[in-house]
Amino acid sequence: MEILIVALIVMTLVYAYYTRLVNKKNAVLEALAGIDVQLNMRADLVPNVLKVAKRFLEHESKLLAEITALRMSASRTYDRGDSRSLKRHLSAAAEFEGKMSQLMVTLENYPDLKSDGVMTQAQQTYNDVELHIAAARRFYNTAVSDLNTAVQIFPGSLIAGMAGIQAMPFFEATATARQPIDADSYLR
Amino acid sequence: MPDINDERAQSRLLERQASERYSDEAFKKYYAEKIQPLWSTFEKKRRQAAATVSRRAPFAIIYGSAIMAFVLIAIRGWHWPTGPVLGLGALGAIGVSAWASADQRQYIEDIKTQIFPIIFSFFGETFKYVQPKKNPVHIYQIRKLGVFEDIDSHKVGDYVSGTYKGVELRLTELQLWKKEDKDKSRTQIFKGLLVVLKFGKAFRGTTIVKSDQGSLGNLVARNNTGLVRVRLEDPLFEQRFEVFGSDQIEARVILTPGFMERIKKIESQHEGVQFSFISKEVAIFLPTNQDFFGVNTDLDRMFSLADDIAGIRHEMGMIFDLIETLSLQRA
Repeated sequence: MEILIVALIVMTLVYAYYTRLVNKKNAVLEALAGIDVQLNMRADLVPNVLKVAKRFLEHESKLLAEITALRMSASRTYDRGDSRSLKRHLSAAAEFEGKMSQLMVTLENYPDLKSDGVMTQAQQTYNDVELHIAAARRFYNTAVSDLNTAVQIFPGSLIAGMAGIQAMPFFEATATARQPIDADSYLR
Repeated sequence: MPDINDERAQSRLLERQASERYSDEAFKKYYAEKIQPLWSTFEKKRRQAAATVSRRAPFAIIYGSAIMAFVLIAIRGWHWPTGPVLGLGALGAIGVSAWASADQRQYIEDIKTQIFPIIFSFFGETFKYVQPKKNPVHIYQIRKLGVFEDIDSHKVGDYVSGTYKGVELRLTELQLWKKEDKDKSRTQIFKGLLVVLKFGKAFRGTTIVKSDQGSLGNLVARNNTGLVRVRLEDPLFEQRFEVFGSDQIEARVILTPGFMERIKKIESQHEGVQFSFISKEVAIFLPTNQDFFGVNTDLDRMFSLADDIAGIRHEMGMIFDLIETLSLQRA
């Protein structure tokens, strides 16, 4: 009888921990969905930017081609449950972001292009989407941090292993985004 | 086509003009030009009020004592009914006191109606100071802001309204009360300033930044708002505040690390500050025990508004600073 009670208590605790892990995983997936919505918005915006940019940026055709390729790569479907597939997706999104930032900096050198009405509108929308991506990234990373801590500490590691719940990758900023800003170039 | 360097130069010029416009130096100049010339008029009014008060005060004391003696005799000696006699006595005392301090009240009123509009004009032509006759804000409008949903009564004092960099601003003195279930008495739950900023662009969802009230208090607050908790990365901010929102991403678009730092700085000066971001409006509840639109009522001191103005300028500067940050985010 006593063994039965102890087993029941252990099972209840394991179940409670399992529920907690599933909740945390779902929170990560919810945050991920938020990121994907923003990434799709950015991907939809890019053709407009490129269409206007192509008229002016003849010398930057390599950059424009890279952006087009990266956009396709970042828009590919992936397996949300597989951390490796997810990591590839997030890396592609980050790389795409880096190239887009490079394009935006390049635009600064073309005053005619910057003053184009369509481009100005596209840039404003792009900046707004970027703000939302940064916020979605923070939401996602908080949820991932929560899940990974629970998955990596005993008994979470054991229960997660049995339930097939894995630690998830963080959505990290690109090397371009981490580079220090040359304030002088803006203040000149 | 405008040159990019021209645009940057223009932007720097505008920034410099803005900081120069509200600097100490600029205000000193403004004070010297617009308020200093009124000094002699108001100093004369202060002296007249002080003279009237000191002349009437002895009479007021004698009248007051006579009324009290009459009340005592009427109740004890003539056995007149206590309630009506006490009521009459109180009315008499109020009348005497109002008569004695009439000039002092007029002096304060003159400062508010003649000098305050000039002070607030310093911040822009659109700024105006209003002394409302009735509560200009309905209680449901305050409840709707989501920070104090369970209030039963409110009192709105004087307010200032205007536009700063395209953002409509309204700053109101506010007191809020909540009824206690058991003894029907009411408890004051807020006293301070309500600042409402109206932006051109609406928020997609609702975000409420409330003071941290401990585990149980936060749980109750979350149930009251019907929103989801937003957990942020800044541990110090998390210690001080509890954030609820309908859109996790937008809450983080608003509460960037930089903006959280600003809120913490404000909180260090106004403990208990709370925010709500709904539709096109940002509401800031700034607790303070000081009367924001109060003036120095001491008739024995020479007329000066230096201390009162310093407080107003400090608060307005802080609000403009917040508008600048939020405007950049919402550009």
